[in-house]
Amino acid sequence: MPPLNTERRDRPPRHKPWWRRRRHWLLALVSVSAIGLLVLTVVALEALTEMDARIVKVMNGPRWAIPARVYGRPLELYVGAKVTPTLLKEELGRLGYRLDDAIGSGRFDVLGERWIVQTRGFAFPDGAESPRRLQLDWDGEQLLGMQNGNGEALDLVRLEPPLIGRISPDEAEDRLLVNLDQLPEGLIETLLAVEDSRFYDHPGLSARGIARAMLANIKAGRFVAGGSTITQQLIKNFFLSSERTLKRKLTEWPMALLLERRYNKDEILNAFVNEVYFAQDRSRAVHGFGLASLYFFGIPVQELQIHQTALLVGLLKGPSYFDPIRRPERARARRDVVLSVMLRDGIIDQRSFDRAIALPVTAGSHRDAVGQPAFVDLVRKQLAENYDLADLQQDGLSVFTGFDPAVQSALETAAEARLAVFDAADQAAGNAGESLELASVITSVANGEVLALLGGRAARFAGYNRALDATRQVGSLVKPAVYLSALSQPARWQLSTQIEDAPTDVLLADGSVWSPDNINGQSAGDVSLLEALTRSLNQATVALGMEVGVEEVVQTLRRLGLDREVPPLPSLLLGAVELTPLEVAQLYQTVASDGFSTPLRAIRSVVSRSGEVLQRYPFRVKREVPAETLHLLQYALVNVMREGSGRRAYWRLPESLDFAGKTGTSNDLRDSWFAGFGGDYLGVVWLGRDDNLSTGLTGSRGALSVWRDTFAALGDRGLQLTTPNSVEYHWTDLSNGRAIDAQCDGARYIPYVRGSEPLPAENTRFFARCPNQ
Amino acid sequence: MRCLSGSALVLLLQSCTLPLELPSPPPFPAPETVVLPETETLPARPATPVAKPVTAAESLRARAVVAQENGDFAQALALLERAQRIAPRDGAIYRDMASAHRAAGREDLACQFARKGLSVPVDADVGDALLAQLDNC
Repeated sequence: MPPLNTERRDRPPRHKPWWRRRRHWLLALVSVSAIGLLVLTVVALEALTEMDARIVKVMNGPRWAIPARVYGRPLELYVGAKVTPTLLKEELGRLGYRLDDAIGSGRFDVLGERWIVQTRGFAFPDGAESPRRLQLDWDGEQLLGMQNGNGEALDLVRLEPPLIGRISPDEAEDRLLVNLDQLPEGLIETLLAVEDSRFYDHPGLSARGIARAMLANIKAGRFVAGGSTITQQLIKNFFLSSERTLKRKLTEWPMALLLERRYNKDEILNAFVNEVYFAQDRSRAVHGFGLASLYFFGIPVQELQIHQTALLVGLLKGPSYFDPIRRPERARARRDVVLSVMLRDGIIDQRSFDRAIALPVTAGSHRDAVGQPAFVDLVRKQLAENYDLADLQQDGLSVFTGFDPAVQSALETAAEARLAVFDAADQAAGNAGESLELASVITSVANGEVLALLGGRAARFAGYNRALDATRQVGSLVKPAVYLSALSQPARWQLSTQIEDAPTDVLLADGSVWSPDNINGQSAGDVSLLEALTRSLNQATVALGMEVGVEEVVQTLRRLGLDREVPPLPSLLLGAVELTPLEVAQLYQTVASDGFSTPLRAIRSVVSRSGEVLQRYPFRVKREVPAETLHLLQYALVNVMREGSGRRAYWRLPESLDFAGKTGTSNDLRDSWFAGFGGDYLGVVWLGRDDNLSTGLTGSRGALSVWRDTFAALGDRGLQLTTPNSVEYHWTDLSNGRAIDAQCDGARYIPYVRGSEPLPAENTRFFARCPNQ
Repeated sequence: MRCLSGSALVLLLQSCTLPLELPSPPPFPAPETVVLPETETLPARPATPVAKPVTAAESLRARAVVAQENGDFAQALALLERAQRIAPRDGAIYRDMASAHRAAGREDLACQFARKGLSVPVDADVGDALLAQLDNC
């Protein structure tokens, strides 16, 4: 048999199919493709995972850096409150309420002595205040009654607090977060109609939109449009640059799809309305409908009217191009386009359209904050004890304070008017130095809250805050501490105790001799403590202080609240100690609040972005000076106002009211001080120059006049001295400190600590009660 | 290329993921239900004040008592501070502050507020209560 192979060899070679002939190549190609696909899938998965992580991180995190917002006190309305129609009108003006028919929140109407106010409500840290329709009945300047819309009597209502500032970096985005349900009717519908009509139907990308954009790109021969949905716009704003490139689009698309997979439509829309950019307000970028409404119209977003809604939605197409403040014509044309869309889509009816389109564009650059940089400076310093600056600038905290815009306004008005007078005098005298500066602190006597603050003559501009940072010699403001130290030893000193006002030499530690003079260069001889303090006698005060002990006076200053190292030198007795106006206010606060030290507070509480109370700054008291001793000092300080250097206060204040206070003047009239209080307020005023040259003003002529005008405007109800059980009043002859009868000439009814009552003169006979007469 | 492949993959995975909860801004207080008068006529002007001056502080004190009974001392004190701003010479407020601080275990502050209460004019009941607080100091 022939071998099989031979036979085979004889056959013509069979033609292999192409795939068999190239199968190695094909195999290689398929393998490469598979590997390539695998690699691509891995790369894509990695990219998607990374994108997804970025999305989740931003969307589940704080999303935006939001500056801390600082609020002033809310105005409390109740029968008996110190609220007048004028004051309420000013407050409503500050809060952006409109005077009209009072239908809708943020509006009010005045019908003679009846006011209707539609409040907005506010989520306060200690409970929410509901929006209400309020009916207020006035009897002249008094609030007579308060009812709600159902005619039910209300005992207490508070308006929303005024925003007084932010704690933000130099350049920052700002926004006021809102929920979708807080937006006015029609805003979302309009937004979708204009920006993304199929928002609720597409998966994040709109095929129709992309096709339309492609066509536009081809026509233009370059990348001019991307057919962005709201989801894509949000992705772009959150994660990408604003450049129009294909690369950005190719990143944007998968991220938009991922975002839609992760979050529902309302969540995306909610993020969009808060994210979107509207305007640049100096160094601040205005984002979100919440802040845009306040910025352009001065009203909360809930109160937007149809034409305003249309304007804001229209602005999204080009916030700079359609800027309603700089380019109102363009903005109006764009607004009208949006109004037409609203009409077309049935969002508004023809009547509303006709009314809205006839209205002019009235957007302005509204300051949503009252703007109190000096006070916010104090807030920032107090917050710095518990918070990092970075957290304050981005965590969206709400800081509630006791700042009272009405008190601040009274202080600013008084300061401005007085400074004008002093400036004129300066000019007439040919003083060419630095202009006179002023700093002031007003607090509540009742609880130590700082209500108003001036850091310099330019109240509305941030800068050197003299109320907090300028340490200046306080002069005679320190004297009450000397007398308080003495009166704390009632067995030895009472207000009627005689001391000598005479030239005195004090040997100092360095061997030199100090010989203080009185301001008029004359000595008064023997005087009572009451007279020495009333007349602010230097020689008598030094004599008393040296006898009491300078160290003891320093301890008294500590008990009053001084938190600064002060060397116990004799010159301290006449005020050779440098303090800030805020420190002086702290000392006098203890005097004003009957010997209870109350740390001065700017802040009431700090609340997180989600409404959680993070920190309270509670009202605290601590008895530091016995009531009876403090009462004696208060009596003496009232006397200073009635008969001493404070009597100019009564040129404007009612004689029927008592006030207590003390002037202070440093050497060469460099500093003019006044610290004083009534029943409601404590005020400290300083006048001086930054170059430390003379002001030409004593405390009485300078600072007191600002204090007086402020207190007259505030309508302080005056000091009500409460006599402690351990104090008795006795008729006294102040020329010798002896007890006499009421009808005797010069008899003064003055307080004594029980057990230290004055005795009659030794030669007084039983029936002769006026021994010297 | 990364982005394109990513887009395709996302479309495939579209039905596999679940939405997550998002943090939202604090809730806004709900408006009070108000029945507006049907006619333009407004309710008659009250002949006398419909609420007394002290009522405002008293209602806050009453709310503070409830908060304290619920163990929310911070809220009780916040309400009392608000009352104190309205009526700073009402000794009953200091009595309640002393009580809230004592309940919260802050004995020293309780004593200080009792002393503060006695520094303003008080009636016998409030005075006795403040003195009782001081007995524990």
